[in-house]
Amino acid sequence: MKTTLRVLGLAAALTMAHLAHADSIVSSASSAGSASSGSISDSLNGSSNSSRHDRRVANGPYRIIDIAAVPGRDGMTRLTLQAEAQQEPLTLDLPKATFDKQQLVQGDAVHAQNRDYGIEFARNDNRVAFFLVLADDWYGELAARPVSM
Amino acid sequence: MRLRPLAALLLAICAGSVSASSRFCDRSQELTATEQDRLLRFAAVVRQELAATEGSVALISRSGLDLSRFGIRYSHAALAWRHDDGAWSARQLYYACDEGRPRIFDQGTAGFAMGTDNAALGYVSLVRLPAETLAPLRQALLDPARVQHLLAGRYSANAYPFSLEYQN
Repeated sequence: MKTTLRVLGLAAALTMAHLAHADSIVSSASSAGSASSGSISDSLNGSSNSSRHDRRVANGPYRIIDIAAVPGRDGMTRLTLQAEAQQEPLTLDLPKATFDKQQLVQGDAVHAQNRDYGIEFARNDNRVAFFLVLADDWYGELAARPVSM
Repeated sequence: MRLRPLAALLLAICAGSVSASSRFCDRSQELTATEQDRLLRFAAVVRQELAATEGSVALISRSGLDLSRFGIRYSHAALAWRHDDGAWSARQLYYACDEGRPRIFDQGTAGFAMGTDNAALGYVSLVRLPAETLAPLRQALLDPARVQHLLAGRYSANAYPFSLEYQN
């Protein structure tokens, strides 16, 4: 690691000469917490594929057939969604504030799209995403974990 | 835990770096679902590239803070290493805002890619290292005592290889 850092440091040195009077800055942060995304384990139930790591749903529109509070989880809303051609409904738990911004009501439709990372939920009318459900392994990649002795 | 990544190298400058880090810790950054979707799909590509990497260690860098005024694209760097199950983590230096000190962290590819300040335009660089360097580098990288030994107690935003003052 030390050798590598020296190599990297050399690259830095080539640029640092030009930065002596630059403002003090640090790079941006990544965050594991978000009002616009959640893990499959915490957010989704009732889909056709039960694998936690690679759960899939049918792509396409889903009708909102019920909107309710999530028992025991303050500030969370549970949507019960019914696909046009799918018998089993699925439930999506997401922050109430996130859902309220969409101003969707029972009977409206949302659109689900499988992605490599999980499932994107978007409004059905303009396909603008409002909540992402990440496969658990992807969700686990968001957090930074300190290296301890 | 609120974190701000400190570039291991290509970061700019500051004598009063602790106050600078505090200022940046106070910034709030909430990516929209659309922005996250875009970054996560990008991370999927990075994942594929790492999966295709023969070695178990690689140098990974990304754009983050906009350093274009200095002609710098990549503001944050890490050493990516492959776990036994095939997953990759980026071992890197972050400033732990809650603790007020720098620490070494492991983070998955998705989290690393999502650390940018600009979801509309981002870059990731992967450098595959010479085969003969991989084993000793990996051994050093995964040695917690050695890693901690390299970690300075005081945060400096920049890393100048020939300076005794500006190291992180």
